[in-house]
Amino acid sequence: MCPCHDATLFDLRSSWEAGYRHPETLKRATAVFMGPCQGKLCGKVAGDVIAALQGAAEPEERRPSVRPPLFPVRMGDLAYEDESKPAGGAA
Amino acid sequence: MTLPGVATGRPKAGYDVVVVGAGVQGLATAYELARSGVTNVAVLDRSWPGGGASGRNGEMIRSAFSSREWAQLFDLSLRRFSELSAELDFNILFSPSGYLVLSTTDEELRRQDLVAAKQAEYGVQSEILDAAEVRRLVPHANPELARGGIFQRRAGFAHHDAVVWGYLRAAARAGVSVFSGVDVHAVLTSGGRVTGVRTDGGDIAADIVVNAAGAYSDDLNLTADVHLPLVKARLEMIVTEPVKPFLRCAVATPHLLGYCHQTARGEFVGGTELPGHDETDSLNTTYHMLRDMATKWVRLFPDLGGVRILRNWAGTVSQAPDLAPVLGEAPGVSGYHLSIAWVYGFMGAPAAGRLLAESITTGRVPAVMAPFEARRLIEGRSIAESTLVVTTDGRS
Repeated sequence: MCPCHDATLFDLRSSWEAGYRHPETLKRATAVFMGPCQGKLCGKVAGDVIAALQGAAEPEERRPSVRPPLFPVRMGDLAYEDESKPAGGAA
Repeated sequence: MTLPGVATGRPKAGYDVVVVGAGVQGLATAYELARSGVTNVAVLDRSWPGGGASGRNGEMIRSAFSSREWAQLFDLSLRRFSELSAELDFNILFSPSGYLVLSTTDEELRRQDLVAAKQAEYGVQSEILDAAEVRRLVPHANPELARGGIFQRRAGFAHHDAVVWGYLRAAARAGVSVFSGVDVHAVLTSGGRVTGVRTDGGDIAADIVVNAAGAYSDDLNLTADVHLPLVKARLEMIVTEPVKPFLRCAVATPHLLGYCHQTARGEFVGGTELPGHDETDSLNTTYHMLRDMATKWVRLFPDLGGVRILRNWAGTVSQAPDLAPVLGEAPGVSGYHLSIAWVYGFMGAPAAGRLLAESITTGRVPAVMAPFEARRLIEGRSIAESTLVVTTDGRS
């Protein structure tokens, strides 16, 4: 199911059976959507599994938010070179 | 149902206590009420339990603060965290691996002896570290920034979702009904007393209503004509790909306005702030905070320069001018209790839940809770705490 975090179909089904019956809570219970792929590998399959568990063609709820950055980015590439420079813009 | 322990069906027409908000504050309070024998309790949330700041915070836990008020409240919490896994029969992944507040500036170094002496006076055990000791404890930290610190050995961090889930399950087992998908629009009052709440599914009667609505607690207060000087604020955090263990304790850096730890799975998790507050209820993140976090964390831990950020997220709180929580009955509305204005809410919840439940069931305000009453804000009294990693007045 999720090669990043080793979540299996069994994990998803058993978490669902235990009561984690929402994409947001199933995400937190199994770590699908949360690995380095950020759902690119598991998102569609997880959605299909959720839909099947709900007995529908599509999941009732949308998948959890995709968080920025969309691809893993090295921290050093985002850091300001001038260490004294504060982040731009108003807080 | 959205989580194990969430009730199916709709709420009844009335309860002894209605708690608004199924975050860690509301659930801890409901659990402690049930433990004291008050079980006709409903917790109402418009979303899934723990979906707000309870599941978006830095997970860190300490009681080594500089003020007596904070130290005593959070020391009760720390003691509760160490017993919660057994008591709730749910592993909250509490890691008592230590909490270090770094000293960077000359002023911070000068003050750390004084702060630690105060902590000893309050009964909070902490250790003063010099540069060499800090280097042994966090060898990857930049020595220019890690020049000293105050270390609380029995503090640390826990898994925030697990704490919410543990309280939720235990509260439900004890008879509390937790509802997901019920939107509370207003607190109902009559003649200076609370009478219930108005929801999207109708009115629910209750002699006691607890406001634990997090970022929306001030909006709820206004429906009961309770006016406190609270503002909303957005905070952001990042998590990286898992890396091998390099950071055992939780670290806060007042100089950089940052806080961080490494999870058991190996991810580095941290948040930073800028002076002032970002007054919004948006949960979107911003590019300038992403860069602020990257800049500060690479500066503190240069090895993180090659480690990749996986996610950046935001959470919102409602905060008071002195950044301390508001606990207790609301001024002017009998039966309406507040557990709001939390900025350090995850770490404070086990204590707050117990103290608020005690004050509701006995009618007496526990001494540890008393300083946090709402009236202090109306009368302009502040609780002065100097070791927070957040500012409101433009200074860092």
